[in-house]
Amino acid sequence: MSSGESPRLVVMGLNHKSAPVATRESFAVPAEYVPVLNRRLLQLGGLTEAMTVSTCNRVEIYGVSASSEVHAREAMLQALAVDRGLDPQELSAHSYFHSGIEAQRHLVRVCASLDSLVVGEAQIMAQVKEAFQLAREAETAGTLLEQNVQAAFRGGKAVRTETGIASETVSIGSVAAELARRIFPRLADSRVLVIGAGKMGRLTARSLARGGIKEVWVTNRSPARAEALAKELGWTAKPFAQLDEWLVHADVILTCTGADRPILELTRMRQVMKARKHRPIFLVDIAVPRDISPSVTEVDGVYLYNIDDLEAVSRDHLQRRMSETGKAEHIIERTVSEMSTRMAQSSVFPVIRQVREHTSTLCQQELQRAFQRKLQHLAEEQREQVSHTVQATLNKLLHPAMEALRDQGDQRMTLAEAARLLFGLDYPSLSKETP
Amino acid sequence: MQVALLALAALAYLLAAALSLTGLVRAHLQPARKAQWFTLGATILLLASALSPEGLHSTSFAVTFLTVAAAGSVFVIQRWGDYPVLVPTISALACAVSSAATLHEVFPADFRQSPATMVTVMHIGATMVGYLLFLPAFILANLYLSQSWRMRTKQGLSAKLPPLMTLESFAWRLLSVGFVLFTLGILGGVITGDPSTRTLRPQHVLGTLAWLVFFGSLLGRALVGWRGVRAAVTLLIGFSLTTCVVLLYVFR
Repeated sequence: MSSGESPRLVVMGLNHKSAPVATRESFAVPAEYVPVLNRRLLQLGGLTEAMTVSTCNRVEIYGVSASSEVHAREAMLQALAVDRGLDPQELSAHSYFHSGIEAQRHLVRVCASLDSLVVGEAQIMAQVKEAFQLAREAETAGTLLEQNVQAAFRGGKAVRTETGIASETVSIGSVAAELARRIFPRLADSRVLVIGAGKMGRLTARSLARGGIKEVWVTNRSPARAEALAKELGWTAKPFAQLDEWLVHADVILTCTGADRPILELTRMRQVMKARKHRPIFLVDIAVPRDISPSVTEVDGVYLYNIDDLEAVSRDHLQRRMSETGKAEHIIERTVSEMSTRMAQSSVFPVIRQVREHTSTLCQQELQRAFQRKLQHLAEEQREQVSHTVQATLNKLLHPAMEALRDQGDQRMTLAEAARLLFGLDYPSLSKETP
Repeated sequence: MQVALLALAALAYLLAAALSLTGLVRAHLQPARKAQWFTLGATILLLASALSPEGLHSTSFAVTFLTVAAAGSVFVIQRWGDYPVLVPTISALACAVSSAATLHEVFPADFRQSPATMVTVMHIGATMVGYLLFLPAFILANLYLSQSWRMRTKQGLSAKLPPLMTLESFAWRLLSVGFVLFTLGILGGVITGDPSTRTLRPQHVLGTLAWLVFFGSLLGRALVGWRGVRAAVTLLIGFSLTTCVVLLYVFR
């Protein structure tokens, strides 16, 4: 049952800051269960609209509530924990709850990736969009939730375009791809040679390939492993025995073997570079112990980055992202302010419409009664004039009220103050008696 | 005294350039730091020569003074951080200026007006246009050296500059076109020169040296794919030699 409060956005959830991964895992909502959860939230009565966002780093329920915070919170706990046989106390201990402007601020920060594990990451906006789409399909997302979510998307987009929060890459693979782009003008025309078939090498090579490289070769001391990796990822396996030949033709070399001694040394690289006619070559050594001797950098045109170097660049990029958060917070506050104003106006417009309809109906009824009785002698033209005058008087009477509702409809005040505001009355002077 | 100061300054700048370029090629910072002191010493000598009684009335005064200002500011900038490309670049150009000023003082009557024929116009025009193409090539080579240094020393690269290979490729294209014009200009000079007065003059020697440096590097690039930091350094050297030749004409 509504407590008479105006509808507002609420959010409850847990993320990487509030809960350990085991807790997040247990409360995570599978994609196929999300619509069920959304509908259940509406059935429980605390929310009039609902949307669930469940990713590897957060599980959150966004909703619109016109009832008390307690009621909304209980509904969320019930749906997210009790109904699924999970411990509501554990959820309470690790979750956060925001309402009104705080909830709006949180939503915008999430969409802007300021609340993410890696600030500036690009996936969260798509994840929230997907969650909203599921809510629409389940018919649990209404006008108010849509307004807030769309405003949050706009704010998130503004943060990404107007600040440098997403300008630099931070994952190791992306950093390697970015460095390769700083050497080679067209990465798509470059070849990557992956030496070794380890997991880290595979992940890094995939990031490089996502950066635009079309041709990836893989070689390993064990031909079977190289073949298996090549087949799995659509790459080309090359025999390890002809490594020197592949080094001459590849532009980016990624090494991740388990060798205990370097496989690429100064002498070998000198010969390779001579055969390459000194075209630049980018070496990425993510193996520990290192596969590439550091002395190879003495050869002109050889650029070598090991795992520590890539991590240092990644940290530097992350720091630069963090330095942009100040600007991002300004944009977020601007967005939240717009959201609050729209939310307030949204709750007022139905009232304005109702007042107009109600007064217009009353006016028509009284005029009809008058035209059938005391004013039945009036001609058609005269009746029109009377209707017109009455309507004009009504509009003048309602005008200050409608303006006040539009501009200050979300303000709290006494009834007397509200009456003065609505009817455009001046305050009486202190010397006069009030009736 | 002015000549001695200029010659010493040129020598000191040459040492500074050689030391810092070695460091650049090997991606070591130490030689560049040592070279700064040679640059400082050379700049003091150059300033002294500019302020000497002969220097104050010399046609090379303005350019010399500007060079002192540029070299001095490099020394100040290096106090704030390491900019390894700055020292060799400025040292090489300052060496060109002081060498030109020295040669101008030693061989003052060595510029004779040739009759203004079409060939003379071609000689001057082609050489100057060639030099003007060398200038952006020189700038691109500097940017390449700077980015290459940053890449080799793991400092990360500026995303605002084009990729390394693009910088290098454009530099060498400009150099190639400029070299053709420079060659035409030199040929024009050979044709237009008065046979009765043909002697080996400083601008001829330096111009030929510059031509040989450019020719060697372009040939090396075409035949054996010579590129990278060493190739960019030769571009720098060639440009300095060409600048010296141009200044010799400016100072006359």
